[in-house]
Amino acid sequence: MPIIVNLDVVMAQRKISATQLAEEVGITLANLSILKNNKAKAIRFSTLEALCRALHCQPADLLEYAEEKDCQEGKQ
Amino acid sequence: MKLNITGKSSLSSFLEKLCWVFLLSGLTITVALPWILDYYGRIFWHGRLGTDYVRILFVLYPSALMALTVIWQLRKILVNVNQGNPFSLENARRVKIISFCCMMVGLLFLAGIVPSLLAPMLGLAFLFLSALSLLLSELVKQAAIYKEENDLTI
Repeated sequence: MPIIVNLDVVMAQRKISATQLAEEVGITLANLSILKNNKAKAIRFSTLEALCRALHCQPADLLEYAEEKDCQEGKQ
Repeated sequence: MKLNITGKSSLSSFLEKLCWVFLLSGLTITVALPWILDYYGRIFWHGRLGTDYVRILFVLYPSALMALTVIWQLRKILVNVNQGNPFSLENARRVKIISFCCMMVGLLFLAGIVPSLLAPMLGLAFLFLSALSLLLSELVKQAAIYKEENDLTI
């Protein structure tokens, strides 16, 4: 998918663990893992808002658009 | 008293067990079909089945196998329902198999091999069931896709 979730990068910058973030945002660890691993098909505004609040960042810090070609190169 | 539809000790779990009864009795009837038909012919047609005996067996054997397949698929669907996973692509595929089996039985009865007025009616009923099952299969497939999308929306 051309939308890349940079959650792990922001989490590393903020030095916050997945368990702690999941607790703060109010989602399960399994769902956070889906989000982190780019397996999610959509994200609710409420979840995005909670993530931004917990990580003190902007939505653009978490989401990135990459051309389909770049995505495939990244995978290789 | 509240009747549980799905889950443990529910209607679907009872139906799943009932499928085993149908499967075993169906299998027994299928194996004993030549003798049952012979007995039926002697009692109800006064032993005048003659050449129709083979023709009727030719229709009944495939129909019985299709019916057993349908019950087997239904049982598998009920297992999935009891496990809390009714809307899956696997279930959609199983309903499609049921639809195919119903269509085959319908066509067999419509082919005019069985010398009975009821046979074409039965054939039409099975074709109708087949069409309904095909529609249901598509609905389950769409539901499975919606469910997956919902599950992957965080």
